[in-house]
Amino acid sequence: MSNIEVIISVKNLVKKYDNFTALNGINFQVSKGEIFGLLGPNGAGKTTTVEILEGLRKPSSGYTEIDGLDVEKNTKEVKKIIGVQLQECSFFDKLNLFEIVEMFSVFYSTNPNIENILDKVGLLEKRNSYYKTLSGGQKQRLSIAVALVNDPKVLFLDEPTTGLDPQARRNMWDLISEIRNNGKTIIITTHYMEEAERLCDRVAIIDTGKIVKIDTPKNLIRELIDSGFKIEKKSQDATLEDVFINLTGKSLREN
Amino acid sequence: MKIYLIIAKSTIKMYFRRRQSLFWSLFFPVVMMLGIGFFGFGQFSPPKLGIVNYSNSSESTIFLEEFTKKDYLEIQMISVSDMEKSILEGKIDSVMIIPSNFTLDSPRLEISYEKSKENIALEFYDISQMIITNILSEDSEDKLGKNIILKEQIFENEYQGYKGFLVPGIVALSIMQSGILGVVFTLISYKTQGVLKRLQATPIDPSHFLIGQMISRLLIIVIQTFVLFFIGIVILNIDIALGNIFAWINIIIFSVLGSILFLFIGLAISGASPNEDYAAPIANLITFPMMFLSGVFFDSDVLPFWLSNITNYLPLSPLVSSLRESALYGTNTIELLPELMTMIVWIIIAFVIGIKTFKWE
Repeated sequence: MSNIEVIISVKNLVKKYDNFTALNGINFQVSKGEIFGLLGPNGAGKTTTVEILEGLRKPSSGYTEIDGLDVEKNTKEVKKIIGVQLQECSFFDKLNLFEIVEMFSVFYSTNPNIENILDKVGLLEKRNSYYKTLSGGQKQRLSIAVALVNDPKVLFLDEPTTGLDPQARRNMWDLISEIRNNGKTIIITTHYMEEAERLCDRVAIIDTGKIVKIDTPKNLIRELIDSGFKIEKKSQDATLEDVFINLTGKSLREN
Repeated sequence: MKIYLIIAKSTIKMYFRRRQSLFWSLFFPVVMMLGIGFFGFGQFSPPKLGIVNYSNSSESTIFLEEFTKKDYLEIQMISVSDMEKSILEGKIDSVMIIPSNFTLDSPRLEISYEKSKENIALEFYDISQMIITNILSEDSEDKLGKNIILKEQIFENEYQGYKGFLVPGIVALSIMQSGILGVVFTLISYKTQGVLKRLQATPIDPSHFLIGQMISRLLIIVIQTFVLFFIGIVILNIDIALGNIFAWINIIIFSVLGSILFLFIGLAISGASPNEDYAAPIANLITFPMMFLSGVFFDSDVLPFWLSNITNYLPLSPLVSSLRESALYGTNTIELLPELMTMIVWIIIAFVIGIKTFKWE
């Protein structure tokens, strides 16, 4: 990684609650323009890691840096250059989408073209709708629209496709790839291995507060195979999800 | 600055788009005002007579004793200087003056009343005649008739009746409800829905958001106060502030103070309640007793002395009495200083609890 520019580095990150250690020495680096996946079962520490990087929680010990800024010391500066999509979050119920994005632009002291942003996430024709009338996928896309108001260098996506139907999930993958192609670095957490395999340049597998392995999905798979692992039956060339998409089409079902 | 503007703009938009908030802060108080104001509970109370006694003869003592035996009347001894105010405030319905040269044979009584209370004054006229006749135990009605004088007093300000009493009470009640419930319910829904957490992820200090919310709510409550008074003036025909500009200034001062007070109490409740499920019941537990004990619907004088001594210091009581005094009698701010001080003390208490206990998550 020596010739690649590092934008995020996490060193010996520890987070302890009263009787519980959520993170027990996390280390990783993310380079510019990468999609970096944090994978792990529920409660492994994915969200805690992300929320420390977002400046929402203070670590018990360890060091985190984004774009040369110490997150703990320059929290406000860091918040200005990152985009955040939280796992469980909703927006003002009686404001329409345009007004929500407008309000957040003021919070970030930026003045973006709001129509462009809504268009980018495919919500332009919904600009006058209220948040609660949106489908699950649309809500997630609004979250991303809000995260883009400050044209961030790094985008954090915490389980952006949980609860979405296959069509909406694929649509979200396309959107995420597109955002990365515009030069942004993305950190994404997910439970879905297929999603990680498709989107992520590298993944870190976390379990019980520790990183078990970091590498590209391809290398991780190869390593497993090299160690003698074999799937008992030869894998099929298509999955049930492929059948589902083949039968129901790719178009979004939300209006 | 721009942050406060956008928060104010958004909060006010959301307020008008949310039907429940309009219902509780405007529709409901108006219905209450019109309902109770038109049908008037005030008339169910016993006729109240104030007596100014200039005589110390034994005959007047006997006469007074007989009068006080009539337990369907409420008799109060008052001084002549309190006469007008007591009638205007509706504390008494009419005044009977017993002259220094009072005798039972020639009882030159004078009964004063305000125009709208003529029937009650006539009742007192009949009762006094009856008492004297009974004491003298002879048929002396003709002779007495000429000696008891009924005097219709034209007071500068008209007695505004129960609806006049009620309107400022309801206005104060609505300030409390909008202040406490508005804050508690919005903050709790923002907290549980993760809106506050999302705000924390932005570079602004989230307290800006809280302050912006409070200022917008304050504005909404002051507007609400004026709308409710206006409805009282137009529909219930009440003379607010008696054309006195200072009374309106008082109304602004006290409605702003009241809003701040109850917004802070709302903040304190949302902070101090252990979780979201407790906040609404706690808010009701705090507002409900004040609704009945702080003089909104009836004067706290009717409560037992020990109780009214306590209830007069509840947060709502000084707001009710200062708005009522300003609206009905144009009382000046200096005279309302005790109310002002009580409110400021509560504001400080609520602010400290709110700041110490408020949690963003």
